[in-house]
Amino acid sequence: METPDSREAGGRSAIDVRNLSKVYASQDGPIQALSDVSFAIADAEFVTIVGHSGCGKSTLLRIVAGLLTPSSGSVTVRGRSVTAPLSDVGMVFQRPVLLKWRTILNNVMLPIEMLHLPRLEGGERALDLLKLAGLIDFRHHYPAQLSGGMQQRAAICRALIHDPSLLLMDEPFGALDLMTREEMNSELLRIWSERRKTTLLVTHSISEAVFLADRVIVMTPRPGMVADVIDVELPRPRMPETKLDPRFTECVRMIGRKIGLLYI
Amino acid sequence: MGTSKTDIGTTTISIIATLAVWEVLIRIFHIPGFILPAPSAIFVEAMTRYQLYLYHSWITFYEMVVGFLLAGVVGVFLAVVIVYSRIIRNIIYPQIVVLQIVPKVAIAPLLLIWAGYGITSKVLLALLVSFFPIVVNMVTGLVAIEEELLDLCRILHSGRWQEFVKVRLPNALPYLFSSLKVASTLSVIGAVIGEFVGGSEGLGHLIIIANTELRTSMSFVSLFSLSILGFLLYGFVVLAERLLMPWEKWQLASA
Repeated sequence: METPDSREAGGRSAIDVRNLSKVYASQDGPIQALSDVSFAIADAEFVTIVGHSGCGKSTLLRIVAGLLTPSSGSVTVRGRSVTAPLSDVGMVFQRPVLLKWRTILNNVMLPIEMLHLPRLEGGERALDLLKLAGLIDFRHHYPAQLSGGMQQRAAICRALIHDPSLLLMDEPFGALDLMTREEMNSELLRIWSERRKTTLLVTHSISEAVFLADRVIVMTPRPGMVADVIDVELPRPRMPETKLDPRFTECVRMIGRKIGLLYI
Repeated sequence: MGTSKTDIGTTTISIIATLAVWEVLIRIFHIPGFILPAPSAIFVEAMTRYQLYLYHSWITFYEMVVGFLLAGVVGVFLAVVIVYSRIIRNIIYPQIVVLQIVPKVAIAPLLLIWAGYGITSKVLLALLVSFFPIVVNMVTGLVAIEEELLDLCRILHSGRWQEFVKVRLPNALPYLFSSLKVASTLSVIGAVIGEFVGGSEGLGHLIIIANTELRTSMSFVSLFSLSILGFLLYGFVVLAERLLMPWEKWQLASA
């Protein structure tokens, strides 16, 4: 395993998670969701967390965002310990959760309003982001008029509008059909290459995890523990053809073995 | 849920057909007017004394509209308080439910003693009859927010006020409007109960007089007027809903 500062010479890591544990109280006694999870993410790095459902991936993400307090251990974001919800975070969930009464543009503007940031600049940023996400012609549409994939792209724009230093994504494409999902993966990488955010994305699709990431954190279920951290040595920009690269398939196979899937 | 021209046509024709059959049956079987008047007789009654009906319709409409609007204000206010304060929820909610269970007809005589035989007691009854569904639906609308959206509010440091104005309130609008539709039809009942129990004005009062004098066509004109009033108020609510929630038509289309 790597030490937090080993990746970028001299630079402190963007996210530093140390000895994190989370125990939930339940009727059948305490449930250990996370156990002694440690990792670090460098600035502008794209890291994915992959594992079975119920391995505490989402819990981990919510703790990093400051939405949940850990039972023990600590999370440091850009050198500051996380104790409350972080506004320096852009969050994307499995469902788009757009406000159905707002147009796409006004949905993207929500963080600007809530954080009381200057509207004029925010508006320009919103238009830029919508252009980047290919939604500019739909800015005056209501969410219900858009497909699931388009709604999720709008949610990504909303997560980026206040220029957060971290992008946290909780199975963002889990609710989409497979073809849309693959499109969205390429789309996300295209947006990410334009706005190099430190990104932590949770998924249970191994190929998605490998395709997107610089590094993949593999987790074991109940309690959630870091089984391994795997460097993905595939060149960027990554194209759909990347999935035909033998290094890609080898990486997917290796992670599959770690998670305990049977590969022949 | 769109209404096409053929839909309106079908409805109109069915109404005309019902009236025609009614008229024919009365004439064939020579049913006396004090038991069931023919549509033509009802129409003549309405036309000859239209001023009387207009005046009393106005009184009843006034009572139900004011009662309905107050029910809206009271209902929304109570819902907000119930959602935001646990103590007040525990104090108020059981009392509201008890109040709802007691038949309003049974309270009406008391209200007349307290608020007099004038318009006030009728307004209060319309309010009492129609506010309950508003409270219940509004509470649901304020609470039924996706978990992720509340997480987003916390990340964006929205604070309670912004969360309320920008997320909870608009989210509750569809719930509010479906309860307002119910309340608009209930408020007619409230106003008429009040007029039945005591007073000297309104369509409910006319129905009482018509019954004691066996002037059945007068009863029928009053009844039809009442349904028109209820329909009018309901129509206003639907219109307001369409104006205030332009996104809903897409919501329905995609559902």
